[in-house]
Amino acid sequence: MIERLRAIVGEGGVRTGSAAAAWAVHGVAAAAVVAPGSVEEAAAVLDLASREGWRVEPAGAGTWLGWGRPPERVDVVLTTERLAGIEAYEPADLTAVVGAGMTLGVLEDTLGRHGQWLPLDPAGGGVGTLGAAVSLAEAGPLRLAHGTPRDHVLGLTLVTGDGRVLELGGRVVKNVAGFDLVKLVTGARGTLGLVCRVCVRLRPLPERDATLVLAAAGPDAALELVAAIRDARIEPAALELVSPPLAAGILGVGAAEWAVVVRLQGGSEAVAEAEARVRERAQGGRVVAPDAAGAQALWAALGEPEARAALVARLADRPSELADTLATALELPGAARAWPLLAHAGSGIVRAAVPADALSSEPAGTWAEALGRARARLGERRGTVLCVRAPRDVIAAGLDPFGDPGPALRLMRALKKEFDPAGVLAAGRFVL
Amino acid sequence: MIDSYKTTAGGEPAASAAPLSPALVAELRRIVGRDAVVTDPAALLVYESDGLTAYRVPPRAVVMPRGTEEVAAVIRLLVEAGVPFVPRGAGTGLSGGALAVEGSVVVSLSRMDRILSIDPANRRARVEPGVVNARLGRAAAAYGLTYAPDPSSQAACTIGGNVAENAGGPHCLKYGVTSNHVTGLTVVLPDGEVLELGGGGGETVGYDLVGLFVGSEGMFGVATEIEVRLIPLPESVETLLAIFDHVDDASRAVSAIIAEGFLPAALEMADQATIRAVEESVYAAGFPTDAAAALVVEFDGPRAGLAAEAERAAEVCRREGAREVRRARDEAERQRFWNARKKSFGALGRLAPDLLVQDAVVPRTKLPAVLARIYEVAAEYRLKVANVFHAGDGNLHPCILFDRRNPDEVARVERASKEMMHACVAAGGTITGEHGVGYDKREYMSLVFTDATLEAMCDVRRVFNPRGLANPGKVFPVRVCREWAGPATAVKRVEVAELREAGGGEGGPAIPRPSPGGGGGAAGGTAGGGMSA
Repeated sequence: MIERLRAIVGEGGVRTGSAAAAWAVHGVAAAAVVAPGSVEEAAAVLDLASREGWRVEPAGAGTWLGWGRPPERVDVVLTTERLAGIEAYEPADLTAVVGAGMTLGVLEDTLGRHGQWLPLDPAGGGVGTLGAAVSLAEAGPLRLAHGTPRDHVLGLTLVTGDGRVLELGGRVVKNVAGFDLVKLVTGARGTLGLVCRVCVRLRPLPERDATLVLAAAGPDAALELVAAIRDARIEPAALELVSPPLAAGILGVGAAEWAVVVRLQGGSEAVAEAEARVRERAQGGRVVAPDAAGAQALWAALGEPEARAALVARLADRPSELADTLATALELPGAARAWPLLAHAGSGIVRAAVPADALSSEPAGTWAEALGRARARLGERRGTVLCVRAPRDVIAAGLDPFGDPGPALRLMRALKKEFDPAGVLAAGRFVL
Repeated sequence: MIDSYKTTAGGEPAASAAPLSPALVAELRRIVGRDAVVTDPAALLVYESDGLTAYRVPPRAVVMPRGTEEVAAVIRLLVEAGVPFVPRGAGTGLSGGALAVEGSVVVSLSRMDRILSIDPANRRARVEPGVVNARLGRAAAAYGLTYAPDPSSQAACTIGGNVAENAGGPHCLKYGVTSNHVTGLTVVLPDGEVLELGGGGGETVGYDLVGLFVGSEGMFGVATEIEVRLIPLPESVETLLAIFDHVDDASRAVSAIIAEGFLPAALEMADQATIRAVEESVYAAGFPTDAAAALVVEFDGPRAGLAAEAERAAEVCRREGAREVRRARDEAERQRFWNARKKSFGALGRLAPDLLVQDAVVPRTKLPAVLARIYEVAAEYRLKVANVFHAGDGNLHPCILFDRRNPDEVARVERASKEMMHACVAAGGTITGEHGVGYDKREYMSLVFTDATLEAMCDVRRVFNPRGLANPGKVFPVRVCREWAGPATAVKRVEVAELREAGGGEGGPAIPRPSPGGGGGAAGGTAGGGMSA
C-alpha cells in the first residue's frame, strides 16, 4: 500500500509510523498520511483507494480531525497541505483561486497586502486551511455581517471518492450555470470528495475596524445589552456574548462578569457614529475600546477555547430566542463556571467549549444525556445542537454528534453514493 | 440549437403534444377544482413561452394548485401517468426554462401567492412561491426591512421563479444573489414526497440541500414555501448618474471603482442604444441621448460619510473621462434613474419586433475588452446590439434587436450570440449570471464545464428526479444525461464516451436534436421523458 501511494505522490508525500501518529483521528492512527502535490495526484490516490476499499480521511492542516464520530479504521489521511499556493489572484477582480491547503493566516497576509480580505474567521485563527473551513462550513463571529463559507465560495475543484476531478462553480462573482454543487460540497465534511482548490469572493478591507467590549453583571444584563444593540440601527460586523471565566481573562472585565463584544466596520464616520450609538446603549456601563493590536489579540483569544476544547457544541435557534438558547446551554454541567459559553449573539448561536479537564469531571453518559436534552428542547422550535467536536467516550455513551436530518437523509445518502460510490471518504463519521 | 431556433422562430407555434386523457383531466380537476385546470388550446397559448419568446410550445395542460398538499397530489398523479411537468411562476424567465417541451404539463404556482409570515425580530419571511418579488419588498418595508435580490422584472416575477433560477439583480453586487437569501424551503419532490429543508433557527444538519435546490431550474421539484432572509432598509442612499462620451471610459470607470475598494450597492451601465430607447419611451429620465454610455452608481448604508463616499466615486468617474456626474437630488429622481435602467429592456423592445437578451459574466477587469468584442461581433453580423447590464458584477446583458420573420437575420443572431458567449468564456467568464441555462443555453454548458462535471450534475439530478419528469429537456446538452431516454442507468458513462467519439469536432457534434415542439417519445405521455427522442 505504502509503495503504491509513494508511486503516485513521491517519496516525500507519504508519512508513516510515528510521523503519521500526529494525524490520528479520534485516536485512530492512519497507516499513511498522504500529501498529493497536485489535483491529479489526489485523484490518482482516491481512484486507487476507492478500488482497494481503503478508508480515507480528508484533511487540511490536521487541526479539526476530531469532528464527528470516530472512524472504525483509517487507512489514509489525505491532506491538502502541499496544495497551498495562490493559483490566480487579480486584485481588481476581487476574486482569488487558492489551493485548499493554504492556511487562512497566509491567505490573510497575501490579500492584506492588496487592501483586501476574506471575511471568514473560524475558531483557531489562521492555522486552519481554507479547504477545511469550506469543507466543514466553519465560520466565526464575522458570520453576522459576512455570512459563512457558502456565501464566499464561487467555485471549487473537487476530487470525488472515486477519483473524478470536478470543476464546480466558476471564477466570476455571479454564476447560475448548472446546479450549485458548490453549495452541496461546502459543509459536506469531505464525505463527497477532497476539496483541492477554492475560488473565493474577496472584499476590500474596511476603512475602519473597531471593537468595543461592554461589561455586564450577569447573563441577563448581557442579553439586555445584546437586545439594545440589535435595536440600535447599527449593523455590527460581529456581536458576541462571552461568559465567565473567559471574559475576565481576556476582556479585562471582573471575574464574575460577562461581556458583550461588538465589532464595527465601514467608513470612519459611519463607524464613529455606530460607536457612539453603542456607548449610548451601554447606559453608563463600562466600555473598553482596545486599539487595533489589542482587538486582534482579543478576537484570536475568543477563538482559542473552541480550538482547544475537547467538546464543542453549537446550540442554534432564532436570534430572538437567544435568552432561551443561552439558558439551555447554561444547564450543561459546569457552564460559565468551569468553562466558557460564547455566543454569536447576533446570529442566535451559543457555543459550549468544554476543555478536557472539565469534561472528565462528569461521566460521559451525563454529557451525552445533557446534550441530548438540550437538543430536544431546541428541536421543539426547529433549533439545532451540532456537536462539531466530541470525544469518543461521550459518543459511545449515546451522543449523536449532529442529530437527525429527518427524511432528507434519504437524498443525502443517495448523493453520497454518487460522489463516493465505494464509501471510502470519512466513512460513518457524518450523519450518513 | 440553430435548427430548433429556426423551427420555432418562424412564427408558427410548434405542434402541441396530444391532449391529456379526459380521465386524467378529471382527476386533476378533482384535486385542484374545475377552474384550476386549463386545457382549452387557445388559453394554453398564454403559456407557450416564457420571457424568451423565440421558443414556443404550448403545454398539454396547465394546473394551478393551491397549497403544498395540492401540489403534491398533482405531481403524484402526473408521475403515476408518466406525464412530465414544468413548474412555472410568472413566466418572465429569459432562458426558456419554463418551456413545456416533451409533452409537459405546466404546474402554475400563480395562485399560491400568500405571504405566510414576516418575522421582523429575526429578519425572516416565509412566502408561497407565487408571491411577486416587489410585493415582498413592499410588505417587508413596513418593518423597515427589504428583500435584497431585485431582478429587473421584480414587478412581475415571483419568489418561486427566483428560487428556481437563483435570480440576481442590480443590488446583488453588494448583497448577493437569491441563494444567499434563502434559508429554508418546503419542497415537493418529483415523486410527490413533501420535504422540509432548512428553515427555522437551526443550523444545517447534513448536506446543504437548500443551497443545492436554489437554482435547480425546476428539475428537483417544486418549492411550495420559501423562507427568506430580509435585510434592513438602508439609513441612506446616494445615487449617481455618470455620463460618458466613450464606452471604454465607462467600463474602465467600473473597473476602477471596484479596484479602488468601493463597495457600491449597485453599479449599472447603459450604452447609447439603450439610453436613446429609454429616452424615447415613457421611462425617459433625462439621460443625454448623445452620450455613449451612462453609469448608475448607488451607495447605501449609514448616513454618516455616505455622501463623501459617493463624491469620491464621482471623482473616479470624472478621472476616467465622465463628462458629467449627477447626483439624484431626491427619491423621485433616484426612482427615475432606476426606472430607466429597469425598464430598458421594455424600451428596447419597441425598436424592433424581437429582442434577444443575453446573459453572461466576465471578470470585472475584462469588461472593457469583452464589451469591445461584443460591439465588434454585432458589426460583423450587421446586427444592432444594445448593452445594459450589471457592470459591477461583470454581468453582461447584450440585447440583440432583430426581426424573427427574417430568417437570414435570425441565423446571424444565432451565430453572433454564440460568438459573444465564446468571448465571455474565453475571458474567464461564464454563460449565465442570473437568467439560467433553461432550454436556450444547453449547448453552451460544455463551454464551461468538463464532461465529468456535467455527468456529476446529471447524477445529482437523478437523485432528485430519477424518472426525469420534472422539467425535462433543460440545462444539459443533448448528448449528456442520455440515460434519460430509457430506464437503464448503469451504462451511462460508457454511452457518453461513445457519443463523444462519434460526435465529431468543434463545428457541431453529430447528435440528435429534439425539436422543441415535437416532444419526441414523450408525446404520448409515456414514461421516461427522454431527451434524445
